[in-house]
Amino acid sequence: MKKIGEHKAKKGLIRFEIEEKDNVAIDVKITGDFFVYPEETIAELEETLKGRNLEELENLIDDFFAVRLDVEMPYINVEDFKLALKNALSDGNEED
Amino acid sequence: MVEMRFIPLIVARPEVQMAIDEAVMIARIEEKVEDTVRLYVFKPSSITIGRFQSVEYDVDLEKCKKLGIPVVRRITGGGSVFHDQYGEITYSAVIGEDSYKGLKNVEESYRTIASPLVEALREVGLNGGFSGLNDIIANGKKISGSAQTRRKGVILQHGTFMYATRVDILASVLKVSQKKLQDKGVRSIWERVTTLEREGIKLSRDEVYNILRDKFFEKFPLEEGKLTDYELELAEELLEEKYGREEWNFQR
Repeated sequence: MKKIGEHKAKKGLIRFEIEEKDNVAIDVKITGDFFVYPEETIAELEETLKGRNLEELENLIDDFFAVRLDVEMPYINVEDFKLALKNALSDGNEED
Repeated sequence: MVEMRFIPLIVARPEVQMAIDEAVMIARIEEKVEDTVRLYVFKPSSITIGRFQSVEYDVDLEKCKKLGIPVVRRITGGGSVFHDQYGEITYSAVIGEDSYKGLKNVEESYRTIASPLVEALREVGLNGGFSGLNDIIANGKKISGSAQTRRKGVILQHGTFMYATRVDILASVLKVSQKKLQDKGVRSIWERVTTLEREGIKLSRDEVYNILRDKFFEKFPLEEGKLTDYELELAEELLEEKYGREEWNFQR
């Protein structure tokens, strides 16, 4: 099942698309019109989340950014990513 | 003050424009060229989407196909942009973070680099100003948007200047989420975007180009130049391996 959730941060919309099977995030796509430098960060974050249990994802996002001191995100922060994730995981946003 | 290069108007397809922008940035990082400003026009009318955008959610692909509007992904983040062949001029600047005061700060750098656009609005009698991180508004509506990336101490910033963009086409090909419109306090793109023409100022492309060119020359120590053979080679590679390919443009 695909779970989709959006969150509008101060600058930019963050969208999580999670392909879920048996409580595991088989695939994770993060899209939107935000800015992150370096841009490769987003693909790396997606890789970090793939294959993990849904309950783990929020902490994994925290851990990921905690050690990435090179990452610059004008007008958005880690909480914005977590809110988009929460919206994707909550029932109200599910799509078949 | 350091010398900077100005590349006169290039009219070309979107994948070519994006390839040139990145080629100039790579050449600048390798210190093979100086800081550079250029002005260009997309032909045919095109859409560029931000680095992280979803083709499915952010663009009406069916409509684009019907209208013959190509979609190319930028290396810069940010939102989707409709570049009207008949109503929009794009600027791009490749500048070392150390070349000017304030460029290290993201917000300040947007304003520094795009300030000639605000001066251009003033020149034609409009009171424009920055809004948020990267937009320029006139009479409360967006008339220009910019996006930037940074690599190894070099900034690439590019953005739009809408003098006669057909906003009805823009609104029909870009999908903007309701959440975003709500956030801006408007119901549709139509209410959010404007052009010089919609503000009652009718100018030809050449007239707009000359005003923008003059304003960039006033702000930066520019000298007219051209792309080097090295940049053209890089651009050709980027066109073949990246911007001309679905793997890049439709990756997410």
